[in-house]
Amino acid sequence: MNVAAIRTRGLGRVHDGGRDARRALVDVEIVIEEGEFVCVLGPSGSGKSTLLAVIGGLDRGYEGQVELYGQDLGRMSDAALARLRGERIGFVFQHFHLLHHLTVIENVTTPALFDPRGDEHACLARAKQLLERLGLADRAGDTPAELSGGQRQRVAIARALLRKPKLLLCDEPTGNLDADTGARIIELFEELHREEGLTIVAVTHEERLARAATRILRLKEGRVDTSNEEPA
Amino acid sequence: MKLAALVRLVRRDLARARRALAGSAFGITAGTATLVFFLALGLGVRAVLLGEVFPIDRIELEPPKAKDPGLLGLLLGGGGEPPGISPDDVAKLGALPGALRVRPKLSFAFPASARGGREIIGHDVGAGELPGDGIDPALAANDVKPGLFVDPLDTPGPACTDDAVCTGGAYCERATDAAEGRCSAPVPAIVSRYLVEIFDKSIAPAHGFPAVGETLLGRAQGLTFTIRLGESLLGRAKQGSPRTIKARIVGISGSATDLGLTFPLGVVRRWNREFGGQRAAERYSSAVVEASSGAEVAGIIDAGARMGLSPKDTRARDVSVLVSGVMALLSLVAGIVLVVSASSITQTFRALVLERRAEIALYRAVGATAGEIGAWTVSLAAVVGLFAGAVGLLVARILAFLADGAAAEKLPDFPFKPDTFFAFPWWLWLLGMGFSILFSVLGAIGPARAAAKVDPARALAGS
Repeated sequence: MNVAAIRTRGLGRVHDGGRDARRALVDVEIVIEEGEFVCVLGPSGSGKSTLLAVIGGLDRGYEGQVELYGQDLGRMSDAALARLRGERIGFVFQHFHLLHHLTVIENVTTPALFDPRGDEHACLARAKQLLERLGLADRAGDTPAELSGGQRQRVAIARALLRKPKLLLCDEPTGNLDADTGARIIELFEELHREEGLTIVAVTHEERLARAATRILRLKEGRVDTSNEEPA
Repeated sequence: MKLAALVRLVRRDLARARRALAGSAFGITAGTATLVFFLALGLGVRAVLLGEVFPIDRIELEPPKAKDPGLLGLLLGGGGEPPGISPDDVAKLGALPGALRVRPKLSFAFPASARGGREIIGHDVGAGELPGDGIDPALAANDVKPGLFVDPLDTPGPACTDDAVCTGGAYCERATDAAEGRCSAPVPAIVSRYLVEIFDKSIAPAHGFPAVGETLLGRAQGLTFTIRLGESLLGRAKQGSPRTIKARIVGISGSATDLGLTFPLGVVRRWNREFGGQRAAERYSSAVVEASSGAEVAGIIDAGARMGLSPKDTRARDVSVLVSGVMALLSLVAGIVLVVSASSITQTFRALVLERRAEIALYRAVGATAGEIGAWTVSLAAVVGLFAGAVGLLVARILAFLADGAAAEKLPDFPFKPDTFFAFPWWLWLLGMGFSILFSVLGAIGPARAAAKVDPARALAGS
C-alpha cells in the first residue's frame, strides 16, 4: 500500500487570542500523495498558511491528526520532528527569510548546520550545483542585499533543496515578486516537480501558480471547500 | 548539530554582534577582575602571614605554666617547677591523626648571657640575659646548610682541660666537675627572622649599627658569640659552675625561638642536665607538631588540649580566621558584581533573541531542535564569558602588578614586608575563568529558554 505524503484527519487549529480566539482550521481532512503538486487557494484568513505550518511540523498546537509519510507528527518528539523537517521538508517563504549577514552560499548551506550526518564538502558541492542550476553561480559570494527579489527567492529555493527533501512547502512563493520574476519561479517549480518528482504544496493567491499545479485545494473559513476541488 | 557547526554559528554571532556582546561582557570582566584581584590579595597576604610570620601548618603545644605560688609560697621557697612534656606525651602527639611528626623543644633551664658580633657590627655587643632553647635539627633542615646545625660533640675533638689546648677556633667543652672535656667546634645556633627584623628595624638604628639581615645570611659562619652558661645579669644557676663556651650563628630559621638563640636539642639537653638537673633534661618545654595540612591543625589542638597541652601561640589561628573573613567579604563583593553582570548578559541576550526570532524560526524550519537553539545561545554566552574572563584575569594581574609597584614605592619599610602582596596559584586562574563562564551562562539561561521556545510558525509569519 502506498503511503501518502500528507494525510490529515479532523485537523483543527484555534489561534488563542484570549476572548478573540479564532478557528483557523476546522475539521480539515486531506490526503496528498507523493509526487503531487498541490496549490492551496483561498482568501486571506482562510487558514492556508496555518495549514502549511501544521503539515510542515512548525505548528504543533492543532487538534486531530497529521501524518507525514506515515508518521504521526503529534506523537513525535521535538527532536524527531526537527529531524524530519530537516531531512524531508524544504520550506520556501514569501519573504525569503534569508540571513543578511551571510553570503549567498552561506545562506544556501544553512540547513547543513543542523544535519548531524552531513559532510561539509559534499554539502558545499551540492550548494554550488544548486546555485549553478538556478543561475546564481556567479553570485555565491554576494550578500542577499545585493540581489534582486527573484534572485533572493531562488537562493531560498536552493536552500530548501540543499538536503534533497521529498516535500517542498511554499508559502506565497511569488507574493513578493513582479510578474515576470514570479513566472520564472513558477517555471522552476514545474521543472522541479517534473524532473525530480518533488511533492510540492504551495499556498498562494497567484492564479498562474495554481495553473501549474496538478491539484487545487481551496480553503474557506478554515474548511476545505470540496465543492470546488478540481484538478488543475 | 556537530561541534564544528556550533562553532561556526557562534563565530558568526561574535562577528556581527560584537558591540552588544562587548557591552554585556564588560560587567563580567569587571566582576572577574575584582574577584581574582581580591582573592589573589588575600592569598598573598595570608601566605606571608601564615608562611613566614605565623606558620600555620605546624602548631607548637606547651604544658601549663607553673602554678602561681602565691605570697606564702614565695616566702616558703619559690614557685613550682613547670610540668614539661614527657617523652611518652611526645610519642602520643606523633600518633595523632593528621600529625606528620613531632619535634620537641627544650628551653634553657638555667641562666645565660652572651657577648659577640664583632665580625659584623664592628665591636662586641652583649645580652645580659640570653633566652635559648634546643630543637631537633631536622626542624631547621630547610633553613640551614646540611651538616652545620648539629651537635659538635657528635664528632668530638681531642681531650682537653682548658681552651688553650684546642685549636682552630675550638673551645674546651668541659662540664662542671668533669675531670676533662673535649675540644669542640663553636656550638651552632640559629636565630629567628623576627629577631633579625627587631635588630635591623629597632636596635641597629638606635645604636647606629648596620642592618644584619642579608649580611647575616651571607656570613652566617663568621658570626661568633661567647656564651656564659649558668650565669646572667639576674643571677646564677642552682647547680653547676658557670663556664664560657663559644657559639656560632649558622642561619635564620622560622623554627628558631623568637627572642634568643636556638641550638641542637642534644646540646641543650646536656647543658640542662649540668645546670638544671636530670628532670630538666628529660621534660620538654614544648612540642612542635607538623600537620599534614592546615585543616588538621584544629584537630591536633583539640587532642593536645585533652592531654593538658595548649597552643603556645593562637595568633596564627586568629590571623587565619581574620584573613579568611576579609577574603570572604571581598569575594562576596565580587560575587555581587558578577551577579549584576549576569543580569546585564540576560538583558543583552534577551534583546538578541527578540531581534532574531525570525532567524531562530528559520533554523527550526531547516532542522534545528529546540535544544540546539538553546545550546547555541548558551554557547555564545560561554564564549563571551571566556573572553570576558580572559580580559578580567589580565586586568587583575595588571592591577596586582601596579599595586605591588605602588606598595614598594609608597609604603614604608616594615618587618616581613613582602615583594608581592598577591598570590596567583594556577587554580585561581581556573577559578576566575570558571566563574566568568558560569555567570555568563547563568545569565543566558533565561534567554536560551526563550530562544528554544520561539514559535517558528508565528515568527516566520512575522507576528
